[in-house]
Amino acid sequence: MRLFRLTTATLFRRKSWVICAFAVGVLPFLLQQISTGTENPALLKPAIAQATWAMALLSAVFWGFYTAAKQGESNARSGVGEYFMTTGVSPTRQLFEIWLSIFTFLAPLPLIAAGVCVFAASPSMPDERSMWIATNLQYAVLYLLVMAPLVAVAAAIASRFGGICGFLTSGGLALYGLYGVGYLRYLGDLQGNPVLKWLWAFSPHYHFADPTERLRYKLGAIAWDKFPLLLAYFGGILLVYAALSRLIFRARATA
Amino acid sequence: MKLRNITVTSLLALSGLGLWTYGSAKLAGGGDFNYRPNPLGIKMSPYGQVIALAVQGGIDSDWHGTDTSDLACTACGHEHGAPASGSCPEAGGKGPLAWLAKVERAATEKTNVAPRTPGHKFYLRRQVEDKLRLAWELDPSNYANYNSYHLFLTEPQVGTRPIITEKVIELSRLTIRYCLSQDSDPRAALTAASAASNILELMFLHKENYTREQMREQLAVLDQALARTHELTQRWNEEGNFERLSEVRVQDMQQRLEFITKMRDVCERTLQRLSGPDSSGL
Repeated sequence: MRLFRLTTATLFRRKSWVICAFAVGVLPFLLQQISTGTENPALLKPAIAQATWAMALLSAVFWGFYTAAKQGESNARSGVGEYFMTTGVSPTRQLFEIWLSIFTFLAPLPLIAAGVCVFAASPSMPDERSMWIATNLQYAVLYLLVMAPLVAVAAAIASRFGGICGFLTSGGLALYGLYGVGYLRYLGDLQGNPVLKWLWAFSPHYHFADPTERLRYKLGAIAWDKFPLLLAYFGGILLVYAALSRLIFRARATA
Repeated sequence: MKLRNITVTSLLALSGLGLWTYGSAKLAGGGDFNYRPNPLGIKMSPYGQVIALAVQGGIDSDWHGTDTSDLACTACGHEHGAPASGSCPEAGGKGPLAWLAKVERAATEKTNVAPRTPGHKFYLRRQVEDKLRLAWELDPSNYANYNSYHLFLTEPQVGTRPIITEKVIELSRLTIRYCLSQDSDPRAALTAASAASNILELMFLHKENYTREQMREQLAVLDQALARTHELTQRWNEEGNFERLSEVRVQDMQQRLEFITKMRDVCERTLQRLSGPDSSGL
């Protein structure tokens, strides 16, 4: 695990993770001052809950994928990957260690967001409160399941095609899955066009992992008998992305 | 690549594809794929409400772009008398904001003396309409945004998309449903009341398409929304929430409430006349 330790130490020393921690943990309390919660106190808690999860999503896309792409590229270009290969660390293993390192920084974000929601924005009704905790934990799990494979994709594509490609691919996929697929439906008559329909059905529907509206309107936790279905769906996407990343990743830049 | 590697990767991909297909088939079957996209949940959120307020400024200036009257002020495009009268807030100001306004003016000013073409006016009206739609989506409970959008949809002189009455009524019903689900703000309930009175007005206009019973039901919705407004206003008075609002906004709300209350009485009288023995004369 030397590459993992090296990457983790590098990221820790670079200190940009502080921005993410601040955005998810502190910024929601400042942002609520520019929401209508200042006029209507009943909206203060929903504003906090919405902002903290929105910040967690944005942090993963802009910090997580960017960092993954940067590490994937520098591993291949700087010769670090080649060095580790000579010491017997296979490319797959290297990809795993880089991924694990970034994941270590990303994993606390949904937990902070869930914590902010539970401790600062919990509903006052007792039965709604237990539901609230369940909803937040469910979305923390879904968040990790969605973001984890995209980190690997960013690192893998960056190692072969450069950092910008890696970042844009993962970021684009995430934004497309969160919001784009919804707009795709408006593009044309989906039912009448088999190609569009097929594209739409096989798009990663990440919006299932976006809790902002569910929390805003206290729609309650996802039914526990349907939750495994979502895990299977995102698990499937995870396996496909893992396989693709493994194929694409390379540890050294060949001339 | 080694054979073992290829096998493992293919197995991963295949089992992933299987799970993915299974999951999407199940989810698509359940209708979960149909959703309205809402980036970062901003629409109908406390942040969306603030943006919906901010959008009104842009709508205002776009709307005045369609204005061709000679009364428009040369400094800001609004109609408030001659620029020299001192009534324009943007003319003659000092500081970086006024300077910025000047720069904006220089960049966007129309220097062609020929009047705006009908195509350009149509384009500007459509810009306004699209912004109003966005403002309504951001906060359907905002009184001004909902009513301006409603005006655009119902007034063929300003609207750019001919739309049938049923669709407009559907928009108002969506607004009512959303506003009455908000149980913490009297202004949302007031917007619901306004939407209900708009529906009634349209029903009176096309009275041959609606039964008196439907109109009476609509009047009951209006009464319910007004009752909710009074109840929440009282609660806000007790909690001192009105002190958080600026005086202008409180006045706005009071004027709107008076107006809707009057409209309600007019609607009731119209309904009585329509339900009377000699209703054909109306």
